[in-house]
Amino acid sequence: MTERGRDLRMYLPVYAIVLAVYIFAGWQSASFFTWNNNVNLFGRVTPLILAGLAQTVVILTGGIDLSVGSMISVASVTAASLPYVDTPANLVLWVLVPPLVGLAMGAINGLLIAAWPFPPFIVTLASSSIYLGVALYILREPGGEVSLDATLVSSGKIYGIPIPLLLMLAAVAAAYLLLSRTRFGRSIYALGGNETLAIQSGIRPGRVKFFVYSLSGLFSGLAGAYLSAWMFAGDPLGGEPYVMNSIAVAVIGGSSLMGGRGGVPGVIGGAYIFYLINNILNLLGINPFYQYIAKGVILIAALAVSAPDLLRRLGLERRREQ
Amino acid sequence: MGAKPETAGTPVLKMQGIDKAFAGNPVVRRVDFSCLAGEIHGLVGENGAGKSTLMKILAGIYQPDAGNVILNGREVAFRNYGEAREAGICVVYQELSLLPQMSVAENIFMGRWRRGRAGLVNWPEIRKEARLALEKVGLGDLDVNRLVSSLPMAVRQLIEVAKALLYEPRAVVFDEPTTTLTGSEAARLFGLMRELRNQGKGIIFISHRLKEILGVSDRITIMKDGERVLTGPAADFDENKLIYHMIGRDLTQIFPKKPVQLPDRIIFSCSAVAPGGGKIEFSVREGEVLGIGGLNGQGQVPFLESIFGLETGAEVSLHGGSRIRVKSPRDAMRVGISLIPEDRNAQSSFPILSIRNNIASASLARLSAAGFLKTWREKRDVRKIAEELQIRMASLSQEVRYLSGGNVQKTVFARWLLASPKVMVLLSPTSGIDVGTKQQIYRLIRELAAGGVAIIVLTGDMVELIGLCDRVLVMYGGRVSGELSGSELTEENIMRTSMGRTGGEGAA
Repeated sequence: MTERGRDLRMYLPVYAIVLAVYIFAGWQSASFFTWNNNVNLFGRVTPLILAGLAQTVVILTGGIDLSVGSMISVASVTAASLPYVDTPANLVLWVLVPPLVGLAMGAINGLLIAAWPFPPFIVTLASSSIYLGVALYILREPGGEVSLDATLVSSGKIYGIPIPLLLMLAAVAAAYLLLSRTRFGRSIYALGGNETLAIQSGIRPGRVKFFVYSLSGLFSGLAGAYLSAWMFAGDPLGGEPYVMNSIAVAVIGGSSLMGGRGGVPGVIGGAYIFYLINNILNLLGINPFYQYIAKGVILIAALAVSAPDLLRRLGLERRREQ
Repeated sequence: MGAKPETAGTPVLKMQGIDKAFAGNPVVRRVDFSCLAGEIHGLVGENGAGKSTLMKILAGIYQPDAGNVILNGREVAFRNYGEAREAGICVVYQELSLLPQMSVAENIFMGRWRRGRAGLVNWPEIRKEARLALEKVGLGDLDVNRLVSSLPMAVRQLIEVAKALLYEPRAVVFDEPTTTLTGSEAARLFGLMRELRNQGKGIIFISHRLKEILGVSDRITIMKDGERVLTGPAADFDENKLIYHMIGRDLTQIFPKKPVQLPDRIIFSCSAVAPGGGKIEFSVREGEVLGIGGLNGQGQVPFLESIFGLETGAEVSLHGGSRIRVKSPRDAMRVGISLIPEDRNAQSSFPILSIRNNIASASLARLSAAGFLKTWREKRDVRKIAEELQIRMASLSQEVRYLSGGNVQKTVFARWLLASPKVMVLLSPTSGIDVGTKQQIYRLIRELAAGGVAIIVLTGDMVELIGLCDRVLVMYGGRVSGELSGSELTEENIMRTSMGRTGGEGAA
């Protein structure tokens, strides 16, 4: 359908970059295209995708969530501190508790932002500090125990399909359905697109904000639980890099920080670009300080290409104005 | 006061054969205009007559398509306001250009900082000069360190004049400066205008308050439909003569026929708090188009927004049902009231969202089940309505910001039509769109009214009020100053009630 095609065309630049980076990586390293490496890749990109989703739902409303990293940390140390009994009940606990803890933290952010005219930037900056304190209170340093059943989540397979891939697909599908197929999803875009008019269209901005920050907490909680399974431990500082990385992923994926623009396909592409660049720089054995510089430069280049209107500005797309 | 300087009587500025069109619509046509040294030249006309455009051309904000501007005998072509100001033309606007969070002195010298030693801003010098500048407008005792936000509107207006005078202008344009002033404040401003005139400056004065124009001006120019109708000494005019020349034209034939007789069935009644105090009670009959008229800014917008649950919510009743207080837009939508806002670009659309998203946004409840959108139905309904309204687009996924003004307005209509409203409040629905689209919108409004939707239209366009509406409430000073229908619905009557015969507050 032409319309669907147009919707997806927005993500064309992002996936062009993914493809380019992927091919470059394969050209640099013979083992890159192997099944094992790709399974490994899925496993490593998953938390970034989850964090990117957490950030994107908030950014779509024109807000920002600086507490994503701390919420991930809290969820990860919670997962590693659950009573250790090697029974299926433990797996259930592991699957439920950290995401619910994340949801609760996100709901607190949402309440503060929805009930008062506090700017999200400040609220989540403050709560980020509080949640980091909570994470350090639970676990002073990386450690704790994660049940074997849970670690299967990050390394196991069902019918030969890696579980991380299944999990990632499930989260992504849920987020996609929510954003593009539900009333609530439309409200999110409307709020980011024009708050005044959204209110005039019968949308209650406080509610939408409360739910997106809660949702951000839920996705962060999932990311934290996943990280604990991946590392066989909880890490009270493990979430920190995800604050900036999640914002980078959202923006590379085509989200506008002003709100109203972006989506799930962009997040996946953005996370892949972000992670692959890291991966390639490691593969090439580049010095860490050069890596940081190169990462920054590549990010800006990726942004320039994936930014909306770039195709138009370059005259690659037909003008549609009438 | 006393003797005028000898330069009096020679033109400070002359505009000859000025033409200006926007997107093919002529706004100013072959206008000649001049302002003499030592005169106050009143400029009057209806909304959209081209006064403001003409003045913006004079001030270099717009460039004329044809014609020339002569300042002190030399032809000039300003590319922006800065150039015009340096050459000696200053404009004092109704909406002030002062920065509220900065001090009086800072505002006066904004952009022309006096530099002292080491290139730093020389504050003592600035304060001293600001005091001098304020003395010239009778504000010698004002503390130049006060924040502008702490001062009343009238004082701000005078500061604006003081700022303009620093450029030693030869001509000063006052563009509706009295709108926000009380009677005595306006009188003070007029005193200042006279003083400037006596110094040999040319003063151009735009106002909708005809009494002021007649009281202050030496000469008056009347504009209508982008053309200059007439220029003459103020002594030759009275209010009736001004009104006669400002209007008095045939209604163009672009309006659909009004029903000869309306049924007496009332489908919507409303009691709202009047912005000027008291209450406004009104009702709309089946098939009726109710117009809201008056000069700009007489409380029409807050009044109408209250029907939609913005401002202090109004009490409404549909089809004689029980009275409901509308406290939020959500309440309004629940009972079937919709509002098409005034500012098309900033307010009435989601510019970066798709046409489909835009049109469906007010009907999401109806288009979804258990929270999930029935996308096939959404697409079908949106496509149907977009085709009905002949929205010109590449596809439904196109972002609305890439549409032309008229098409954006159609998507706004489409959104509310899709929500199948029972009451539609339209704020200036045709401002800034071409005649063809206007005609389409008029027809649509009539069809909706005939289909049982209560229609309330705010418009500043006299022709539209008369051509489109069955009945008109005219507002002045936040209250209804007149209700006109049938044969009373004439431009003269609207003009008279718009001038607020009931209260002449603010007149000179």
